[in-house]
Amino acid sequence: MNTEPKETRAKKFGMVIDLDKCTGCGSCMVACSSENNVPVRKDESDKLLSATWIRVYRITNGKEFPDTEICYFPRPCMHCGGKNDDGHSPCVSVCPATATDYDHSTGIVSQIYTRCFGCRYCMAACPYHARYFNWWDPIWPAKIEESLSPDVSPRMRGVVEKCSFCFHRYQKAKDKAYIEERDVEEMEYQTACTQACPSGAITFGDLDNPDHAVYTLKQDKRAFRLLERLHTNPKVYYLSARSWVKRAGDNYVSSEEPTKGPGAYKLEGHGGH
Amino acid sequence: MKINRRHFLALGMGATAGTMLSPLPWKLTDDASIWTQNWAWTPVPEIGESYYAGGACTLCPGGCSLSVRKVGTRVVKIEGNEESPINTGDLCGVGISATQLLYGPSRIEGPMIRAGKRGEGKWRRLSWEGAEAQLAEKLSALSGSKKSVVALSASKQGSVALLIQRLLAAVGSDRFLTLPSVHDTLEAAMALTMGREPGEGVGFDTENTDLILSLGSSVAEGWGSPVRMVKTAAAKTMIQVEPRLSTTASMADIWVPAKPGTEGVFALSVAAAMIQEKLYDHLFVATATEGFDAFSAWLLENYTPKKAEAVTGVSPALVKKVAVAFAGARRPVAICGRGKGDTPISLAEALSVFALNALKGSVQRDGGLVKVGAIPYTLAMAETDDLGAKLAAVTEKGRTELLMDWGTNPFYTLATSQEAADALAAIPTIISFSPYMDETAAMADLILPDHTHLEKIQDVPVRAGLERPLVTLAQPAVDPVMTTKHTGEMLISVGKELDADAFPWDDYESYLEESCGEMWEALSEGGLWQGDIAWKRGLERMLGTSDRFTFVIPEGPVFLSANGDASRYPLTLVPRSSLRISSGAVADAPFTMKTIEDTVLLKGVSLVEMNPVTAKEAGLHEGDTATLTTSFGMVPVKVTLFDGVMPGVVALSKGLGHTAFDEYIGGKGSSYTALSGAMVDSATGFNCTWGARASLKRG
Amino acid sequence: MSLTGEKQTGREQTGSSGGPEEKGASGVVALFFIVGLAASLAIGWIVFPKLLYSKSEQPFDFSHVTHADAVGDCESCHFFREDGSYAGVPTLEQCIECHEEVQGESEAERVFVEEYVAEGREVPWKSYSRQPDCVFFSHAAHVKGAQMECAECHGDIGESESLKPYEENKLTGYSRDIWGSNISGMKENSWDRMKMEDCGACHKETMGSKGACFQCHK
Repeated sequence: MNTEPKETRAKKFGMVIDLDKCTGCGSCMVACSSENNVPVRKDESDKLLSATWIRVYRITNGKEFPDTEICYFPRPCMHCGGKNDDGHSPCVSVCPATATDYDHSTGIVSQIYTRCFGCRYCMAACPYHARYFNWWDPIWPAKIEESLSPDVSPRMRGVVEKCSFCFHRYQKAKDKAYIEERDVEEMEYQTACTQACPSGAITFGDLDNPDHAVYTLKQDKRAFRLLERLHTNPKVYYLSARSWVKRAGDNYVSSEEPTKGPGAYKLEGHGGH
Repeated sequence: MKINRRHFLALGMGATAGTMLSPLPWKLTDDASIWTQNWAWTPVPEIGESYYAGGACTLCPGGCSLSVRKVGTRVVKIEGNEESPINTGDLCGVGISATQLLYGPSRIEGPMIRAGKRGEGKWRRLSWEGAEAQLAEKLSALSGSKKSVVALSASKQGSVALLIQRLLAAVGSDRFLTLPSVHDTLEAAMALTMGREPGEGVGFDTENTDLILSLGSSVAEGWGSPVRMVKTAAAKTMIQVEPRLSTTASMADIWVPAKPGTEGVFALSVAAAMIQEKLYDHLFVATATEGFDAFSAWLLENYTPKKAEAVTGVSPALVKKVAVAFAGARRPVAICGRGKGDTPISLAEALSVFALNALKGSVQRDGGLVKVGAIPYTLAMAETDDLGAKLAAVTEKGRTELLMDWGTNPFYTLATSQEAADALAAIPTIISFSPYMDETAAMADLILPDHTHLEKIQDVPVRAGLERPLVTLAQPAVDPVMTTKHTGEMLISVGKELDADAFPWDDYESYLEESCGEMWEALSEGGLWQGDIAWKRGLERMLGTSDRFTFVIPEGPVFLSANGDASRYPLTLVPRSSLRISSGAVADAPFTMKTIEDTVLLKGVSLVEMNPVTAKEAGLHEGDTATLTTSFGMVPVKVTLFDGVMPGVVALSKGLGHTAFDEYIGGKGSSYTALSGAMVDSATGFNCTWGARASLKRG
Repeated sequence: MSLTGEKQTGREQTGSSGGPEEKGASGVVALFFIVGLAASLAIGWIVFPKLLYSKSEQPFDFSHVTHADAVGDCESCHFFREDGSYAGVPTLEQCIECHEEVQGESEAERVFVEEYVAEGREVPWKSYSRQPDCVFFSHAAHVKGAQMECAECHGDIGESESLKPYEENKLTGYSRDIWGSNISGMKENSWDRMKMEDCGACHKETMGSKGACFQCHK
C-alpha cells in the first residue's frame, strides 16, 4: 500500500477516449489549438505542414456499401512511459538536447521549446505522429496575436511541439490548491479537449488514483491502447465495443493479418501528421 | 626600440589571458544562446488577471452560451458556459474559434463606401455619421417608390430584426426576409395539423425521447442545436435514413440507406407499415386526432412499403423493421430536415413526418414533437407573407432595387447557381452590416459593420428545435476591436431620420430592455431566458378537448426529383455536413480550417466522395483531378473513394469555396451551394434543394 | 621570397639571445603582455557590462518604505488572486484606491496622478525580476507551499526609498537582475542571481531533485 501523503505521491495522468461516443466533431482540436497557441498557416489543408496537437483521424471497416462503418480516432500525445514507466519513451530516449523529458511525478512528457534545437529525432521516433515541427516562424495575422494565451509560450521556428496534456492547467490548479492549502481535485485539472468535448467521449485524470474516473475506465473490457505491442506504454486508453476498431489499434502488417474480412480496416486520408 | 612580432604576440597573449579571466566570453556565450532561443519577433503574450465574461454565440442557430476567458483586456479563449441548459460547458469548434474571427484578418475596420468597381476591393473609409447619412439618403430616395427594397436578416425575431422591419416599413417595404430553414416548413405543417399562433414554433423533446428516427438529419453533425445534439447522438438509440454513411448514420443502431431525397416517402412507408401491422397508438389516434380514416386510406393506396420501394430503394422488410422499432419504443420521435436543417423541406414531407409522430402519439408529449410557445417580446413583429416567393425574387434579375444584409451573406448562401449569383450582382444598391468581409460585403456599395457577438449586447432568440422557447444574451466581453457600431444602435439612428415616431428610443440598450419586457430580468442577470414547456400546461392533451391533431393529406409532391437530364448527368450530388465546417453565413476561422479532414479538402481543393463501384464505372481513381458539373455550375475537385456512399451518388462538403473573407478560408475548395440549384416546393415557394444531378469527368 | 628572409632574420636573433639588450627586450615583451592583459580585463570587467546593458529610469520614482508605512504590509499591494495566481506589480485600479487625488508634494506623485491616474493609463513599470516567457514561476508554490520569504529572491527591495534604474540586457532582453549585478555571476546573497542553475540548486537542496522540465517551463 502506498502510505505516502496524497499531495507528494507521484501522479500518472492519463486519458480514456470512448470511440463509441466520439462523433468526430473536431471541437477537441480547436479547443486545444486555442488553449495552446498552436500556430496557424494560410493553407491548413496541407496536412504535412498543419499542426494539430490532437488530431482526429477517421477510419472505416473497409467493408462495401451498405455494411461500411466509420470510427473517429482522436490522437493526442500518448505520453508514453516506456516499459514499467521507467521514462524511456520513444522520443525522450532519442532527444540529444534533453528538450523532451519524462516527468516521473506526473507521467507527462514535456517539450521545452527554448531547449529544442530542431533535429527532429523525436519525430522520427514517435510511432504516433504526435509531434510537429515549425519550419517557419508562426505568423499570427491581423490582431490575432491579441488572442494568444500567456499560459503557453508561443513557439519560434526550428522547434518541435506537441500535446502537453495542458500541463499549464495543472500548474494553475496547483496554485489555487496551494493558497487554499489542499490537494488538486480531479475536476480542477482537466485538459482543454476534455472540457470541450460535447459527447463526453474524453475522460482525464490520474490513472493511479482509484477515486478518479479514468482508473475504472482503463480497466473496462472495451479498453485498449494504440500499438500496444511496441511496449511504449501509452497513457491514452481507447474504448470501443467494436472488434474491428480494437484491431485497428494495433497496426498489423499484411503478413500478420488479412487486409480484407473481419478485423480489417482502412485509414482514411492522405498522410501527413 | 623596435616593435616586432614578439611584442604583438605578447599583447595578444595578454589580451587572451585577460579576456579569459574576464566574464566577457562566458557571459556572451550564455547571452548568445538565450538570444537564439528568444527571437525578438516571437510574441510574448502579455500577462494579467485571468477571468471569465459571459456571452452567447451567434455563429449558428444553436443558442450556445459562452464563457469567454480573458487575460487583462484581451480575449484568449472561448469555452462553453456550464450554466447553459443547451451546451452545459461544452462548445463546438466553430464557436471556440471565434477568438480568431474577432481579431482576424477578415474583420472590416469601419464604415466604408465603395471606391472602385463593384467587388474590386477598393474602399473609402467613412465616419459613422457620414455612413449613416448615406444609408438614410439611399433609403429615402426609394421611399414610397414602387421599387423593391429588401432586407435580409439573420434572425426572424428579436430586437434587431424588429428594427430592420421598422426601417423597411418607414420606406414602405414589406420585404423583411430571412433564410428559410426546415423550421419554416415545420411551422407551416404545424399550422395545418395542430394550429399555430404567430411566433409559435416546432420543437423536438429529444432529451426525453428513447428513440430518434432521423429522416436525413445530421444529428451528430450540426442539426438543431449542434452541441446538444452531439450529446444526443452519443446517448440515444437512433435510426438514420440517408444515402450516405454520415457520422450520424454510423452511430445509429439502424442505418437505412434510402435514395437521396426520398426520406419523406420512406417516412410515409413506415407510417403505412404501422397501419398495416396495427402498430400505431390506437388510443391516441381515436381520442386526440381527426382525419385518420381518409389519411390512412390515402396512405395505404399510395405508400405501402412495397410501392414506396420503387422510390426509396428500401426493402419492405427494412421498412417493417423500422416500423416495429419505432412503434415498439416508449417515446420515439421522428425528426426531419436534411443535414443541418438549414434548407427547408417540402410541406408534404413535413406533413408526412408529423403524421408519423402522431401515429405513435408522439405529439405534444414528453420526448415527442411539441409546440413551442412564442417568445414574449413586448414589441410584436409581423411574420412575412409569401417568404418563399419574395426570397426567390431576390435572385431574379431586375426584381430588387436595394438590398440590405444583416448576417445572412446572400452572395454565398443564396447563390445556388451562376444565374442567381449574376442576379444578385445586378442589384443596383447593396448594403452590408457584416462585421466580416464576407462575399456580400465584398460586393457591397456601402458597409456599416456591426460588432461581433463578443463585442455587443444583444438578445439572441433561439430557433433550433428546442422543446421550449429560449433566448440568450450576447454580452460585450471586450471593447470593440474595430471602429464598428452595433447595428441596433445604427438602425435607431438612421430610423429616426426616416420616421422619428417609429424609433422613439434614445439608445439601443434602453430599447433592448423595453423590447425584452418580462424576460429582461433573467436575461440581464443570467444571460438566458427560458419559457415554460407549453404542452405540460394542464390536462388538455389527456382529455383530448383541445389541440387535436389533424392528419392532413399532402397536396404537393412528397419527393422532389433532382433537376437535370439523367443521360447527361448520370450521378446524384448530395451535400456532406460537418461540424468542422461552418456552412452558414460566416466562414471558418483558421483554427477550424485546421480540423478539416484531408478527405474533404486537400491543398486547397475540395474532394468529392464516391463509391469505389461508381468510380470504377467512371474510370476514376483515388486522388484523380476531375470536374464536377451540374446544370447550375461546374467546379474542379479531386476524387476520394468511400464505401459508405451509395453507388451513383457523389458527396461534396458544404461550407467551402468562399471567395471573400481572408487568405485562410478564401479560395479554399468549392462551394456545394453554388452547384445545388433550386427545387421549389409549390406549397411554400421555398427552395428545398437536397441535391442535383451531376457528372464527374476526369481533368 | 620575403618569408625566407624573415625566417633568416629570426634565426639570427635567436642565435644572439642572452645579452643585456635582450633582457630589456623581454621586459618590453612582458609589458606588452601586461598591457594586453590589463586592457582586456578592463574591457571584460568594466566596458563590456556597460555595453551589454542599457539603462533606463522607471516612469517615476517610488518608495517602498513610504508605502509599507502607510499600508502596513507587502500583501496589500502584492497579493494572491483567488485563483492562486500572483498579482505582482499593482495595477492602476489598485493604486487609485488611495491616489485618486495628489497626495503629498513629491514630483513622482504629481507625474503619477497627472499622467496616469487622470488619463486612466497603466504605469509601464519595468519589472526587475520578470523571468522570460518560457518560464512558469509559481509564487504560490514558493510563498504558500514552501513558506519562503519574499526577500529570499527579491532581496531588500521592500526597504528601498527609491527605484534603481532598470538595466536591460541588449542581447537577451532580460532584466539585469536575472544574471545579477555582479557581471562575473558570483553571488553573495540568495537573491543576487535568478538563473536556471540558481533555481535548480535550491530545488536540489530543499527537494532532493532539480525537478522535471515542466515544473518551471511552459
